[in-house]
Amino acid sequence: MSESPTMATIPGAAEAAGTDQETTPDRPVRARRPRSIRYASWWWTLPAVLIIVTMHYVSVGVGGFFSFTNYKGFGSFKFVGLDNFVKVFTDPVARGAVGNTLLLALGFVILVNLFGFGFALALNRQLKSRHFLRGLLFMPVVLSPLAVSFVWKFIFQYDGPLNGFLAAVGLGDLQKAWLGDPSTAIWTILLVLVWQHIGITMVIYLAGLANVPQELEEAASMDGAPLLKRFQHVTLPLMRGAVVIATTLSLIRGLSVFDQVIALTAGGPFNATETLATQVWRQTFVNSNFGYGSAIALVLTIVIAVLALAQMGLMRSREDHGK
Amino acid sequence: MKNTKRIVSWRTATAAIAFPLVGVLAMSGCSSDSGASNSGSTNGVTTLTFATQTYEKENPYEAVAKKFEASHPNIKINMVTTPIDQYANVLKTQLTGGNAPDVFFGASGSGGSNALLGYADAGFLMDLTDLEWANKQVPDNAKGLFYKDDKQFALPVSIAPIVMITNETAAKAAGITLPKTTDDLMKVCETRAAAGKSTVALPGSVPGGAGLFLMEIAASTVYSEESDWNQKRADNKTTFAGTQGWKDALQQVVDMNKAKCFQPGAEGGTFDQLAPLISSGDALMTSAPANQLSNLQKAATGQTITVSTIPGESEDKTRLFASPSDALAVNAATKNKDAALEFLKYWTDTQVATEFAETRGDAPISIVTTGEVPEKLAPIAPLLKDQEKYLPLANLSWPNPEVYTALGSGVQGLLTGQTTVDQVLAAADAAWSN
Repeated sequence: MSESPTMATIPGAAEAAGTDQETTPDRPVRARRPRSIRYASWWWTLPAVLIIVTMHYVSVGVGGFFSFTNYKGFGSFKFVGLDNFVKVFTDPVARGAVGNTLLLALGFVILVNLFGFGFALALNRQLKSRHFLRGLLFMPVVLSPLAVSFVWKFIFQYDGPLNGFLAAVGLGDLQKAWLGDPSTAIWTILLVLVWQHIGITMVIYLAGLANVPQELEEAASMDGAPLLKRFQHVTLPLMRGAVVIATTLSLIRGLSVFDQVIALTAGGPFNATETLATQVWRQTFVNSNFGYGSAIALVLTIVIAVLALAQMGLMRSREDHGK
Repeated sequence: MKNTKRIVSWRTATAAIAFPLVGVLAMSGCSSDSGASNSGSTNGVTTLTFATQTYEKENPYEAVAKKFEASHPNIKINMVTTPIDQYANVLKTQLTGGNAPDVFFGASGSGGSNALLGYADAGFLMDLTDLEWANKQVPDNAKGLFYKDDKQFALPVSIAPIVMITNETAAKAAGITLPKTTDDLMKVCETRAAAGKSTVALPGSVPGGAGLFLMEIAASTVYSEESDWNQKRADNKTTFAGTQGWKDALQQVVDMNKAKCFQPGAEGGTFDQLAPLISSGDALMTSAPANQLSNLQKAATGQTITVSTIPGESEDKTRLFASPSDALAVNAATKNKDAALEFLKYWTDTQVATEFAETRGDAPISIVTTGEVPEKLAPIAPLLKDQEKYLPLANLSWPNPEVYTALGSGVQGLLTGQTTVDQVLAAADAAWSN
């Protein structure tokens, strides 16, 4: 057991301190420590932990409980076992919603990261107007998703500016109800979703590029490496952290898309663009099927968690492999 | 790495916890509750909480509440309004939590998300059966919307006809007489399509709007033959898929689409397109509650906007949905029972009912007894005066809102070719069982 140093055990300390206190080495005097508490003790965090557990985890737990019932939001309910979960995977509308959710998520992850990375590379250095262009590209990110979607809805309406433009340039045959046509509705939603979020992935990749030393690229260039090889073997390996963050965030965002679908198509035409998130809302708050809605929400949560963790694990194993 | 921790005295820590805690307790003691808890009696004045949806402009319910206060100085009304898209969920939460208003607005029947009979099932509404003034207010053909197991739980406040709001000026300018039969309607569509115009403005992307149009057709195709179809369905003696009238109604939508009755892009149509289409004359009519007449009239300045109906196979088979859709109910747990019932009774006064309906654009509930139809509803008066020719909006008494949604989104699916008539009806039957 170690002893904390005191004047009695530090040679010459007593003389230096000007004390004439006599002590014996086998009975060191400990300074009286006042009663005290420490900031970093676990129970200081208790109020915040309680709030998070109550507002987040308990409410999720209650929702999970109701997913095994036929609760309508008020009154009595009965336990229905796994019936709600079976319905998620057998009901045609719910199955379609699962498919649409995965399609939108995959398309969103690929496109928003491709465009974001591309803009980040283009606006990283040299271009004099890069700061202005970065601001311009980031602006849609700070706008309300609902407001943006309603503006795009106006653009895509049958009598809206897009069809008007097509007629003006002699492409009137291409006019259609973009949001009312099942073959174009979901791609329209994807376009709006990607358009609004390119800025955020661009910013993440710009931060990643800032960590790539210019000297390494110059050295590779002087060694005769072509542009693509420099990107593949110098830039990209040093950007792995940014890639993990950007792809994980965009995957979660894509899987939980709601605002754009509700504003643009409300899940139509004829359920063609329903997603798991819109189904949660529709079943819970429109149809008052709280039990079924909770089951869909639970399935969506598990899907997001599994895919996000798998994606992060995949990126990490590549990183380790690369070492 | 050295683990440094700041150390403070017990006194400082105690003060850091105690002061905010005392402040919170003091503030909670001083705070006033919102909504339902602002009820009770003070100095002989009883305060009632009355909840309705929020209105953009004047709240017609609030106007009646103010007149009631003026004539009943011992009762004060505390109005609580909630946006319509949140109203049902807020009310459900309050009823479940035991802090619901004393009197509140809701939809009659059991088929909507804010259906009052659903709350009656859960025991949240006061029984009005023994009150003769409440019984007399319910039209005979609408008892199913206000009664559950022979007990009355809600009071109707007006009758809302579901009509075709029509641009009469544009119709006359095009030399068109408003159709009286389905064949006439198809001929009008043909004439209008040849001139590059449409006949009906349809909000195809909105299940509620598309569903309303379908219901107007079904009023004649289904309910002229079987006015008790809803009861038969509830008793499992019939189905959507097995009823020719429902097949005819959906097929008529398909036929009208082929005949270019609807505006281009109707499958993606929205509510905000309707007023410009009607006021410009690009479409002649649109399906809506009659209380939207004044809104469309304001949008179409210089033109005469009137009401008509989607005709049936013949004039004799033409029916109208005219519902006492909006209703008031009393919280079963109210502590101000006498005052709440006094307020509810006020709504049965003929003059009050007439003035309320006038501000809303509806027909007064007193039409049941007086037969007097407001002038602006004169074109549909022959139907409104005959309880055999008009009936409550059928979906109000369906067991859940999914049935109506299945039909409404089915209309959009028919326009896009994603589904068939039989599939839509099968989906409606499946939703009925949910």
